[in-house]
Amino acid sequence: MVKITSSDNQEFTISKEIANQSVLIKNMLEDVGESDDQPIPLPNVSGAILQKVIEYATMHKDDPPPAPEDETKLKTSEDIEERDKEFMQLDQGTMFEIILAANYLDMKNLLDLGCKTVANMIKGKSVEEVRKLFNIVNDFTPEEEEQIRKENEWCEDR
Amino acid sequence: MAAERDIAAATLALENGDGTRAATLLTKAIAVAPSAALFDLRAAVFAKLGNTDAALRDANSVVQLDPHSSVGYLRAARIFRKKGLNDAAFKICRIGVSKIRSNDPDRKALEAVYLDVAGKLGISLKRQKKENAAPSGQKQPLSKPQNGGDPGGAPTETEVIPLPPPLPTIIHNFGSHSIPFEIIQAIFELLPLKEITKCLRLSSSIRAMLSNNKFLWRDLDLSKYSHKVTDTTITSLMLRGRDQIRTIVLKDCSKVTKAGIRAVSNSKSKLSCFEFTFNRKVASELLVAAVRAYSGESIRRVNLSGTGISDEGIGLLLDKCSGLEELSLSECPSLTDASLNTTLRLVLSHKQQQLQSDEPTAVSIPLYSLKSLDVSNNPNLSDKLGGNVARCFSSLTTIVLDKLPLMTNRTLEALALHCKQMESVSATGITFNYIQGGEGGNTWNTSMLLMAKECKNLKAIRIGSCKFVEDAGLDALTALCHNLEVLEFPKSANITDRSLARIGTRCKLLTHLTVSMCPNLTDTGIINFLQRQTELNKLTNLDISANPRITDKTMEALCVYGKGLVELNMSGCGLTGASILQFAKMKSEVGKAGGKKLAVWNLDRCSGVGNETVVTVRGLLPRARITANL
Repeated sequence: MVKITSSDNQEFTISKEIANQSVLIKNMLEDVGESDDQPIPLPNVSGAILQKVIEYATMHKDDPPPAPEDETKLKTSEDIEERDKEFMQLDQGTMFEIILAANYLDMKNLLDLGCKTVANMIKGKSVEEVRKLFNIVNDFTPEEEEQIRKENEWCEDR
Repeated sequence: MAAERDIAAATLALENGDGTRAATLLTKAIAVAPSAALFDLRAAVFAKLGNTDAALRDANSVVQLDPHSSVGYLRAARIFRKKGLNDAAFKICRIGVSKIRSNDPDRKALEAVYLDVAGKLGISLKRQKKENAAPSGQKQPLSKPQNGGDPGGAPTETEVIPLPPPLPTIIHNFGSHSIPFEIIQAIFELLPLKEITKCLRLSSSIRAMLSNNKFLWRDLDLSKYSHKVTDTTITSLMLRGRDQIRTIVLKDCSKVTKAGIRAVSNSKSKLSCFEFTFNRKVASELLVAAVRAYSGESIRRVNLSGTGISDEGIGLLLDKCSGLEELSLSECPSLTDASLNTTLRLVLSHKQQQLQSDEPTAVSIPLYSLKSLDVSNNPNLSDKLGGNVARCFSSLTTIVLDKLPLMTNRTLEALALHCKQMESVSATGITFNYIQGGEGGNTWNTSMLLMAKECKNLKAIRIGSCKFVEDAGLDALTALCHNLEVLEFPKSANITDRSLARIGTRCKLLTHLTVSMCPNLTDTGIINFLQRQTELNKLTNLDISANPRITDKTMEALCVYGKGLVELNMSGCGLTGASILQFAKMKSEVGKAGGKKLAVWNLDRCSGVGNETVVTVRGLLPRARITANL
């Protein structure tokens, strides 16, 4: 078993196979050796987020190792498992925190899932809808906006 | 460039003490072509004007655009320091020194600010410096537990300084969120071109972040927008993807002229795919230059169908692009039989060299690795070109020779002799009765026998509208080639039921069969075929249209053996109602059970079928496209 502590000093005890899904923790465990039973501090992840991350890792503990990446293959956000879709039904703040945590902990699958979820949130929406969704402030002047709109006309629906 | 003018004007305005005008000019320049330098300049202007928030926002944009340059960190740190926010300035410097390149020209300046604010905060930086000297790994956010650290036992004071956090969380860069640059990239890489372009309109910092990330603009397939794509579209995309573009697909983009293609050349990208079709406005030389200049080594697929590419152009193209795998030159009226002359010379001298080399290799390595060639619809091309194709490209697996009236089966024989890996041949509209030495020449049957003997991997043969297609040739083909998946012989007056039975027995991998308008075929042939296919029925596409002797009996057999069908064309067959309904019911059930769903069913010109039946069939198979112009 491995102990980890969150930024707000919550301690979690998890099995090694779950811990190893984070390349960061895996490397640390290899560095410090087996004997060390000091908890691993994760100062960039809060307890609440760590809880969710562990939930994801537990759900995926029996997954086969990921296939090597194919550089030439076009990436898509369409291939999300149903259980993962459900897992990502979160408020936006939590979702982005999970993405940041996945990046920090070096958990490729979770990071991919997060990115795909955000990509799907952007897809098919109007510019105004996307701004509203992510609270983006439009700082273009009307003239600039018109100029950019013209520039992008080629791929807009007629 | 308008942007350069704006920068010059802005610098002048700044010198004249007109900061507001300088800011306006820079904003304009940023809207056109955002860059780190422009944001940095505007940040300086804003700072001078006392608009700290705007200045910091611009400094943040600089960091997002170029996270490994000191420019943005230095600007932000100076702004914070000026405001007396040494704590913030310290944090920025700490992130900065860990992120910037070791040879950054302003590294010293940043370190000076760092030391300065650290001094003001009363922090010693010894340990920090040591960390930076080591190659800074991307992710070492945690200090290792102290086992065997500094032998001297570092003073506790310096240990207090935490390592730089792995993520710069400076200012919100995506709405109310702060997302590291690499994650923004990962998200947008998942989105199609159209969506990324849409997001350029969200805000100026997002626009800068996206349009300056050349990795988001690598695969540019513009065929969906062909009628709107102009030279300007291409030029602006080339400026975004710069030298990282891999794919350019400009199918049927009729508005594009030489300026657009020049922009492709100017991007200096190493393309792997270049498609530009049905546009005669661009000269052959320019098209060739677009591929040849920088993509000679990397290019794999070239499609120049419907262009004015010349013989000379082809020679130049192939001279440089030896890694080419797919080449499409359909409907290129400037091409003649001479188009491969230069290439053939190259191939022959390459072979000669291999023979003469001191260490002759057991297997000669061909100069080209072309796998797929389409030269269809070029009425000038004859067997001379066909022979050259076979000799130049022995690695071919797929060839399309449709609509080449001057070409004969002599070309097929040349291909059989040189291209042993051939898998797919399409030759509808070549001539099949060439005369040899005044005698009656080789016919379809002898050519097919040769092809079947030499190319055992054949998977697909498409030869239509040919009165020479006969049972004997098909017999040879199906007897010797065991991997056939696609057989298409529409309008073959001489195929009989015997062939169908043989195909059924021998071709267990068959997925597509087209024997439309073959007047000799009857129910017996099709039913025999279907019955013999039972074991491993992979058949998905069946076209037996315009055969009036095929009737309800075949339809009944399909109810039993046609469970895997996806497309069925029975227009002009002698059908009546009952068996059709039965088949529709069967497919509906198969679909519900998770089997292959029927997608297309053509029942045109089946005079025995009533409208009511069609309505019921459509009700049973709501997802299928059923045409029934009775």
